[in-house]
Amino acid sequence: MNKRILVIDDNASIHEDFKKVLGLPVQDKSISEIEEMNQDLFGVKLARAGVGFDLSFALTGNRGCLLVAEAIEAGCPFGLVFLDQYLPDLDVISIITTIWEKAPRTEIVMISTFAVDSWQAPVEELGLTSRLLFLRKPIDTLVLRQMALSLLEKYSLSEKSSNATDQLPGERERQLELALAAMTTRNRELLEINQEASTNSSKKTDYLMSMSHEIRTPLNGVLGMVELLRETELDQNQRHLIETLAESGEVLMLLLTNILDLAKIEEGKIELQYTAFSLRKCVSGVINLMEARAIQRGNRLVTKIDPAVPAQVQGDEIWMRQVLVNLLSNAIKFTNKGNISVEIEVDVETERHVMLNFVVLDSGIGIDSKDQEQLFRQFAQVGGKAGVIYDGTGLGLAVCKQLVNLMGGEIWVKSNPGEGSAFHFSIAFEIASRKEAVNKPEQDREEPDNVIVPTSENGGRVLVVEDNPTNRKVAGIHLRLAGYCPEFVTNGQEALDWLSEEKCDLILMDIQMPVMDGFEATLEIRKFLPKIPILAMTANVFQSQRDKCFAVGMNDFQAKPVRKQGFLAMIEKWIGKPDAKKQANFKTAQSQPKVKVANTDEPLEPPIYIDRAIKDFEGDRELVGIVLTEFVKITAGRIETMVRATFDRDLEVVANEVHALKGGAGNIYAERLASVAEELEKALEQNHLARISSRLVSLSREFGCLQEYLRTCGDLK
Amino acid sequence: MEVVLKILLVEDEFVSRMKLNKILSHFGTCDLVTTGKQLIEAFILAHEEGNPYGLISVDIRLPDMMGQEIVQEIRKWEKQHNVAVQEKEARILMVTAMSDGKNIMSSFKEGCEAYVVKPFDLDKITQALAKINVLPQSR
Repeated sequence: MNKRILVIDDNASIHEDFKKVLGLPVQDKSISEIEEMNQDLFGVKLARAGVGFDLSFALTGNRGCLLVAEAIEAGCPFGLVFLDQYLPDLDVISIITTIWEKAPRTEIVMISTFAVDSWQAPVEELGLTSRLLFLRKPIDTLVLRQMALSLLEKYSLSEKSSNATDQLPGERERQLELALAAMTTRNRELLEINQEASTNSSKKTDYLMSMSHEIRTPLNGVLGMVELLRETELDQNQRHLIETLAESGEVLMLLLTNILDLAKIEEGKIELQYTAFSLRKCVSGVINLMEARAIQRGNRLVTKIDPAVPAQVQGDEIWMRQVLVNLLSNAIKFTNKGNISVEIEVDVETERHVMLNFVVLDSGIGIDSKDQEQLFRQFAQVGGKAGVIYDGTGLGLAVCKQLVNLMGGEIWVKSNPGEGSAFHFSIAFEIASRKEAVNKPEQDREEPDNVIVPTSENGGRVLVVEDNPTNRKVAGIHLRLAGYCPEFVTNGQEALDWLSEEKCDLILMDIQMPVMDGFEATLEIRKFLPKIPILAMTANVFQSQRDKCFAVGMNDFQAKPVRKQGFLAMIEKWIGKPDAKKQANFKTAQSQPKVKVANTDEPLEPPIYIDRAIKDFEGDRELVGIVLTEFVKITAGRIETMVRATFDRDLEVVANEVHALKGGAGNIYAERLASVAEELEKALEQNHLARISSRLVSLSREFGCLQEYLRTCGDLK
Repeated sequence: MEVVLKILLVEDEFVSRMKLNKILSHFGTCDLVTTGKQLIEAFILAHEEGNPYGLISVDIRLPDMMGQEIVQEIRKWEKQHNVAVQEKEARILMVTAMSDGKNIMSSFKEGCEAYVVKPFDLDKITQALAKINVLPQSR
């Protein structure tokens, strides 16, 4: 607490009085302070008073101001100033102003000897202040003391709180820094969480993509079989069941495609591939695809394309097609015995660009306006009865919206319940060519120049190169029913072996196969059979894949799933209808196939040829036993590592592990395990995640077989 | 007295390592390592001890180095230390699971002299080593 008091008074005797009342206390405490003070007023018996204040005195205003300034400079300012109202040099207002200028919190008590009204002027002059009090002479010692105590206490408190306030910015900075640090940490955490989330999302997408892909393969088989079943003799009821089965299968296929597409779009994995393409062809292709289903429901399907629509535009044909397929399949789904049309008209046209409006119009059940907003969202389908009658996930429209937006367009719907729906979308295209005539070279390109007249010198013998047994079966049955004579091999290498000894008229070539894929096989075949038609069969419908097919020397392209009509039409285009006579000759000739044809009924080779391993280790059975035990242990670890690394998409780790595993398995003659490992290695080279996962599963299964086998044979001890 | 050939073999895969050890034991005494780095260290150490390896068997694909790199390192070190002059250059056998020519060709370029494609057996290795005059030793 500040104890410094300045007394400014021109009367020196007053200084003495203050000393006695407020100065250092006298040691003799026989007389109580209060008694002492009560006894004595100023000037008489104040000998032993004083409470220990640090007093300073000035006789003039100037001197007083100087002392105030010095005290401030010395760092021990006066907390309280007693100021005589009338001083010889300066007037009281200017002294107070000066003091407060230097130390604004100084408490001031003005002492006067005269009438009350004389205080009015300073109060008015100084304005409203809490630091000015008035005291009249003669002064009561107790009042003086209490006043001094109270005011210095007030001064100290005010000083303390002001210091606290002055320090506050620093404190605030510290707190801010702390908050900032905390926030940075939190931000980093959030960022990590976010990254983790996006990794998870990416993993989810990969999983979804590989799942859809894996489901699609057997589904293709199911659909193919259904199509074959249709060809057999059926009664009315069976026919109806088959139609339902087929339709459900198609719906499932479309659904899978949509899941896959949506996942790709969300992950930004879709890249638009702009090529010049004909919208008319694109639309007619879609119509051909959907016609059968439309007719089944008694719908009429028509197209109206504005003649002003350019012959070719720059765009992504595949996705354009997907949008139309989705919209049309919706229209067909919700329309019974009605009309469905696809219309394209020119909205705006400039020299190089054209804005086209597409409408898919149906006379179906229509959509309530309140449901229309929901329509393009994922997993939304108009509820109520429609949802019950017309099942589906509504993913199709979400995909359409995403795709149209991706192509820089807009999609919207106009509909009234019971009056049908019109799905509009508009997209701006760059014009590739205006006139249809420019199309001709392209058409010419599609027609091969080397085979103009279809020939089948070998009686319509067709080599099917395909690793999937179901696909082999489907293709085989179609071919046989149509009168062709199919032969089968399961990969490119087998095809080469077969062709080195046998002849055929046409080759159906799968692209992705173990040992040797379709591209490589075609390149090899072209070295010795430059003219034989080779038709690609693949589930991959991307333009890049098509281009590659033609680049390696294939003649045509058949998208999977194989559909009887298009499939046979394509074969007929290349080799014509099968010649019955020649075929008969060949049937006898080829009864004994020289080349081994993959046969699933063939007895499996054992998981391991232990005898060979023992021979390799120079008959040291014990060592082989030790090696095998260790190998099983190591391999279990490797598979676990590979599974984890696959999940983390650390494919390099997988590659290293599988390479080592393959070597080891080969060395102990675990041939099956080695060959699955090799397939996994291939899948890794192709960076084909879905295949990597499935090969890894096979690997694990094969390893299980090996372990089981080793347990049961157990003759190594 | 016949001098026993010192052999250093690197192979990260356990079964191959055991088998290679068994087979190469017919040709000399084997030291086994599992990484390219260990191999280089062992190779240099043997030279520093004045008792270098006569045959080095290198797996073409190791977790840390490619076989070609290892051969390159060995030949570089030998050149820097004038090993050729003393005719103590190691003979190098490349063991590979890859039957593609590229890797083997580049191994030869780096100074490997013989190779054997996995899966190997005593016959294959004997044949490969015979070409570089490493013959089985009777023990």
